[in-house]
Amino acid sequence: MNRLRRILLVEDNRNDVELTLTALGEYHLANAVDVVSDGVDALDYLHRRGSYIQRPPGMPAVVLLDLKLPRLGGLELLQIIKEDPELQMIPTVILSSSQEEQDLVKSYRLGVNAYIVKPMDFDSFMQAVKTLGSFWAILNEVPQNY
Amino acid sequence: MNPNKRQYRFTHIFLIVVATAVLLPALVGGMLSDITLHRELEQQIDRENNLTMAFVGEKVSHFFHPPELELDFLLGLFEATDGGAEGFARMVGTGHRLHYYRQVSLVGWDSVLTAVWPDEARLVGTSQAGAGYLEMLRRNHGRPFWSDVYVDYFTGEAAIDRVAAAGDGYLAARLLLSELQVLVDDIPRQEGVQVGIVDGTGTYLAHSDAALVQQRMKDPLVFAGADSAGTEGSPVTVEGVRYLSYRQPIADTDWFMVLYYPEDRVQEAMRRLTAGFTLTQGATLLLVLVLIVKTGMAFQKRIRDIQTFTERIAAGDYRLNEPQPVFLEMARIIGNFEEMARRLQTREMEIIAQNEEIGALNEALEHRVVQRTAQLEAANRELESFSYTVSHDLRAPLRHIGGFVELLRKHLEPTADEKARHYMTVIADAAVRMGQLIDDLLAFSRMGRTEMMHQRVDTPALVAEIREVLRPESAGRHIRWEIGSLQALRGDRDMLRLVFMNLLSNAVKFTGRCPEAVIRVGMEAGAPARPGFREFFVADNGAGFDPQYRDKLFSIFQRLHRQEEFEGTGVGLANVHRIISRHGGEIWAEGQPGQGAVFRFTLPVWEEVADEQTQENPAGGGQPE
Repeated sequence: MNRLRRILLVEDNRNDVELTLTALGEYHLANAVDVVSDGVDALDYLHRRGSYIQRPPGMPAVVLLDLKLPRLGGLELLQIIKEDPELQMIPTVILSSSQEEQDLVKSYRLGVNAYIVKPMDFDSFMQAVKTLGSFWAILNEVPQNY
Repeated sequence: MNPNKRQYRFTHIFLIVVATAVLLPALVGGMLSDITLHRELEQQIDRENNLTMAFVGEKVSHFFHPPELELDFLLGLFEATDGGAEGFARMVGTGHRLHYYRQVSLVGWDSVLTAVWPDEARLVGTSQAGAGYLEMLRRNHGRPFWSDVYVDYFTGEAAIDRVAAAGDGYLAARLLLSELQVLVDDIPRQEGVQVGIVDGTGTYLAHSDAALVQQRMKDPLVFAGADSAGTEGSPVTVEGVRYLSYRQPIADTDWFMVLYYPEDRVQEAMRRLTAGFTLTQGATLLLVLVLIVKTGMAFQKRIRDIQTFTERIAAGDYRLNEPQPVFLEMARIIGNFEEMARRLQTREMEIIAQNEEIGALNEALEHRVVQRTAQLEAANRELESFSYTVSHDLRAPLRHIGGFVELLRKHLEPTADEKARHYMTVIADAAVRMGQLIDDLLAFSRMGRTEMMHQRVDTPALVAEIREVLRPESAGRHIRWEIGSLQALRGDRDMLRLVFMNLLSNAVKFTGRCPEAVIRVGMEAGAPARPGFREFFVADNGAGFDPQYRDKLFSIFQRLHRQEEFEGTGVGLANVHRIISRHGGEIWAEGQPGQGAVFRFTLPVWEEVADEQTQENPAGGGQPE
């Protein structure tokens, strides 16, 4: 791996964004995070269009996805990504407060790569996000040419 | 209908009964009548023949009487003379004309013919001793008599003499028997009947068959008549022909009369009679039979009609167009059936109307059920979306509170005083507790909606597993467990685990302050109050509770102890209550403050035989409720 790939965080809640970034910052991953606040922006980002037409090429190492999003929800976005031949290989991880069975079932049906319930306890949360970031951004390998 | 009992066709029985009741008596009666008629016929023949004989007898008796009188008259004339030939000549010469006799002779004691009329000079002087008349006169004490039959030497005709004493000799007057034959010929008689007059020697003096006169009668007739002078004919066979023969003596003579009658004529008459009778009887019987069969067939057809009619009714066809049958009884039966059919039809219409009403009601009900179900489903969806919102949206700010308090703590760590730290700790704890409450509430809500599985739950294993889970909580404490024998349960494994988990962890929790905790888990012995259920208990010697509030024990978020004393959200027992209720059981608690608590509950148990069979069906380990 010659360069650090970016993380796309799709999250509309500023508090969650801040807590997530704080946690990733502890592994010095915070600078590699791009944040969008809903599904539509996320698609624009991934396709390098709209306000993201200027972003450098290349797909993110992982998409961290909240379920509850304005406009285009997390599950809908997941479906679009996993059905799009261009995008379907991007590792996509749900990061949600919900541990409802139905959400888990739907997500895995759609082909999610991982499903993380945000722990209530702060330390656990920090630990989870850090582990997540390091695993997907550093340890995980993906095909090079796509 | 009893299949062992044979059933018979009406027609067969009818014919058998008719044959027995009508034909048999008719035949027997016919035969009896025939026999009677035969006998009567025989008697009639006898009567007729006897009448004929009596008639002939009368005639024959009368036949002799006038000649006897004539001779008496002649004797009178003779005795008025001085006798002898002269007297004789005077007697016959008076010009008196003799009606009956052909010849009159005067014979002297010396048996010499003295005189003869009509005069035959050549005969006078001849001896008449051969006749033996003198001897017979003496034997007869001088009274006149008839001689035997003889054949006249000159004429060749059969004749007899009337002999009477006269003068010093006797008179013999010749009577020709051809007169007798005329008499017999004049007798009215039936065809084939033969009548004969026979003298003492068995020679026919006269016979309806003239050729037989002067002939000896046939032996069988002699014998047949020998000892029967009665009114009944005796059967005889003469020259191959069978006869009935009758015999009757003729008064004042040794003669008798015979009458014979060919038997085949009798039998022919009998045959004719029998044939006629049989024909009449046969015709009558045939007529009766035809009538019976026709009536029977008509009857059977009516019965078939009724059968068809009733079958139609049975099939639900109530058309009342049955033609009126000829028999009154059938008409009544048909009438009754029609009435029944009418009533049935009315009833059926009523039932159909009622069914339609019920159907309409059912439909309305169904419609309402559908409506209610839709409402319920909508409510459920709302509830789910509510739960979802709670689980997702309510937890996020809590997490943020916790998170930022933590960040704040880290940020202030170098400078914070004791008070600031305390505040931050309280905020963080409150957030955590609220998170717990939300989780429990969600779990409680989910418990009411989750589908239940019915499967076998090994209770001792479940208790052991929970004790293992609770081990960290009871670490360092002295707890005595007394586990009784526990029957396997029938229900949802996860839910039942939650029941025992709550009750046992409660027991562990509320004995926390006891120096020696005793926790007993068991099953009440004895017959269960409800079939398929057993009563279980979990008892401890812990803090107990005030029985005044025991109804509140199972309400959600109700606690009987302060938070500082024992941890808990007040959801556990509410969950236990809800799960046991969903299994059809009950739970109640007994206790006193400081004296421990006993939780008693009933749950369905696994009946090894009955439930194993259900286990084998394709539903497998259980079926959703």
